[in-house]
Amino acid sequence: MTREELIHQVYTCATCGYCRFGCVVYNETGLERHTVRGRMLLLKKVLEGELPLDDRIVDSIYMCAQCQNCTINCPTGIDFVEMSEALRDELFRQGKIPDSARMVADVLTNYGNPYAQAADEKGAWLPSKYAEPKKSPNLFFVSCTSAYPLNRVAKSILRVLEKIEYDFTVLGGEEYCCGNPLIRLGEHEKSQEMINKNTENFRKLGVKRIFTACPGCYRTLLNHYSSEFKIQHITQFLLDLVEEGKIKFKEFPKKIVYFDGCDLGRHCGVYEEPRELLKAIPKVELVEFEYNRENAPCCGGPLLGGAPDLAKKIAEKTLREAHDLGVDMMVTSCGTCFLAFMEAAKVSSIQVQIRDLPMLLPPLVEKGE
Amino acid sequence: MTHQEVLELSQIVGEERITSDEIDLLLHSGDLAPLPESLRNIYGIKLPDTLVFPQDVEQVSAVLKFANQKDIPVTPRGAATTATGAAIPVEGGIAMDLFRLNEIVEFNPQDEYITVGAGCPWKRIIDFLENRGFQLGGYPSSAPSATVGGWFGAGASAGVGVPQYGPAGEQVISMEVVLPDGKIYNTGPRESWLFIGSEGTLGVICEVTLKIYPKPERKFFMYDFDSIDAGVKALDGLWRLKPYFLTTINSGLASMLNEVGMHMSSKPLIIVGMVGGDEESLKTRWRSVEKACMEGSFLGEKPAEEEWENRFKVGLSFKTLGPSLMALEIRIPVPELLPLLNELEDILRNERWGVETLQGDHGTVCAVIYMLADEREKVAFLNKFSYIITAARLAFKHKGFLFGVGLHNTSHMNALHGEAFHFMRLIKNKIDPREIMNPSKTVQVRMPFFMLAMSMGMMRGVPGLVLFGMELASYLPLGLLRFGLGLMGEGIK
Repeated sequence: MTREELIHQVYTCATCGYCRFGCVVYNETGLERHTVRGRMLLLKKVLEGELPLDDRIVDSIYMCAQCQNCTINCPTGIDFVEMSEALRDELFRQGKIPDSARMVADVLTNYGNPYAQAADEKGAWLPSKYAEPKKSPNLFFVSCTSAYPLNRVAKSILRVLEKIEYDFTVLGGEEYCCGNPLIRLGEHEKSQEMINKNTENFRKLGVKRIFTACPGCYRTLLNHYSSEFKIQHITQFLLDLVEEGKIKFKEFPKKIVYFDGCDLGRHCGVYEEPRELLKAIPKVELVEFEYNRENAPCCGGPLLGGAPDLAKKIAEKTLREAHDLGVDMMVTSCGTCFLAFMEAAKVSSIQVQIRDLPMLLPPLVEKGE
Repeated sequence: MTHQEVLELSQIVGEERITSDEIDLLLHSGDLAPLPESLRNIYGIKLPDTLVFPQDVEQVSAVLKFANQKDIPVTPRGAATTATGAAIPVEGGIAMDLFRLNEIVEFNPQDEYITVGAGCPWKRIIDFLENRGFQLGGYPSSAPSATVGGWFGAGASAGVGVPQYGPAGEQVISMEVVLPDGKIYNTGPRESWLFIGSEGTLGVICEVTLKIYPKPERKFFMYDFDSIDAGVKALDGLWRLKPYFLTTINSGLASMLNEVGMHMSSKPLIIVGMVGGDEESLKTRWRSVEKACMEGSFLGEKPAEEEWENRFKVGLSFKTLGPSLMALEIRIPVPELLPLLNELEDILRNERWGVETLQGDHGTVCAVIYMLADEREKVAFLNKFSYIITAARLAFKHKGFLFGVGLHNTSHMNALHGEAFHFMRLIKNKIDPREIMNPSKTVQVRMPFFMLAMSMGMMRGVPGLVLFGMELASYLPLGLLRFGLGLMGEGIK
């Protein structure tokens, strides 16, 4: 987005406040500085020289989970996520990003992952037979989230793939961060380095099809990597296998509500595949949240680093709604959502079983024809 | 307000529900109309001293009691989606954001009512009810942001549902209102009318119980017409059928909508609407719709339904062409739409403009006149700003009324209300003798009409000079400007 386009958007904002409707941050704090219309008014004042671009305005730009719910409701089509990438880029160049974002960026550039874990440990959880990446047209891109805090998810996927004897490869310790968090923070140079390293590895192994359980990685692989690779989210990939008859499921008589994460949902338009996959499991009863698909609220997860208390409050709202629906479990297909809900559950009195979709599958999977 | 008073207030509402940060004060004290700094000065507008978010009716009451004792102005606000300045705190003091009163308190499908907090956005209630097989009797076209208290405060006289069920005030079973002295008061259907349209000058609406209706089968229609005359004739027949939704789009608006990727007919007038009923009555109503629109061409149910889905966005979706927008709202009887549109052709011949109407109660429409503008071109923008006075003149001429009063339209009150205006002031003085509730609004003229007319006239004639005057005013101390206003106007506290 050019500077001219950015300024045009600032003046296009009708200040109608429709952006407030689905904004989880605003609906917790009640402050207009956390709404798009508030930010546009502030930026207008900055452009007209009435306000300095100070910490408060910078904070207002960063106090956003970038879930894009505001864009769904905006009558003038303002895309704040696209705008904020340009804004953050500018702020990064001016050295004005908030300390919390600076810390995250430093961790990412020093460790190559957002969890401040040693890079060569990234493959530590892998069984020894995967220690050396082999050549294969199919790559399971594990993601930092599934390699460090959530290797339950990655292990589940391995077990499913082993059960159906599927030919694939993993990069283990040679897998770099996809670049997504740095892109969101406005640090484009470093993210490109990561993208280049990964692409080189994909080509070395003769990879054609890449699947991942992390929607952030999926979104980045889809939008920022070469189009020579077929990119799939794990739910799309598994649904293909179900439709090809390579996977069958045992019965699972549970009432489940599915939560749409933003990266997979609004950002990439993947709403039906996870639901279809759940419906492919016999006896699953699928129910819906009041606001679902493109209208789903954000889990709050992206704010766990910068504003943890707020993030947990946001996540707790969804927990409460899931609880009120009387479901056996809430299923998401995003590690960030899963972590946000788990963190919220720790400090909340509301108890709901939460699962990232792949975690359900190992005991249910049978090899198809 | 003194530092001590702000401290006391924070003890009333809790530290996390009060802020005096200049940025928050700025963002919670505007509305839809962009007011340049110099214009704020000319009005003598003071930023509020502090902003509070009371979390329940008891806190609203405690804040008002405190403010009344200390003689501090209080300006309540919902989503501030009008452009009349009604939500702008003019005299400083306390800005009261009702955001936290946003719960759906009770849904009773047996007795068919719903109780909601004043800060609840209408769309949340609409979605909640639609998912459970019910509909409201009325809601505004800005439902994704407009709040319950805000819309009732502004009069709630045109919107979705209104042509079928009458003015939305008739849907009110009861209200919980806090009076300026802090007294909590539960109204019945009749007394509720005192607060509907009072724009926060008589008290704070905190909770509303509304009648709801089982959601019927729905059918959507969309017609275009070869002449405005034929279209208005059809509209005159249609509103009598009491449709749930009825709106018109003129060719100027359609052309702007097409420019941003919609596919509207380019004929002089398009009518979109929806009727509901059971299978049998729907057939009858549908035939009546066809009869009323005999002179038009039917454009299909599906596109009509898409317009319905899009009903909250139409009026703003083309704004990027501006990128600013002047919007003038007047309420007139349906037959007056024809002369109005013809007159606008002449008045606005140098502008890019369009009109959307939303059906109101008793055969009136709320006509929204949109004009593309660019606020960065200050002289040209001032020129467009002067159309505000034109809108008032048109409303008056066409047996109508302004859609709201607020701050910018107070000087027309005498002309429009005559004797009734004095009666309204009597009520205001009785209920709010210390004038702490949203002062300088609605029944208190801030700027005498001759000044307004003169300045608007000059904006049209010599905008450069007005701009110079405005810039000059922004260098004068606010105290001096307010003193001058106090000599001429009546609404200086």
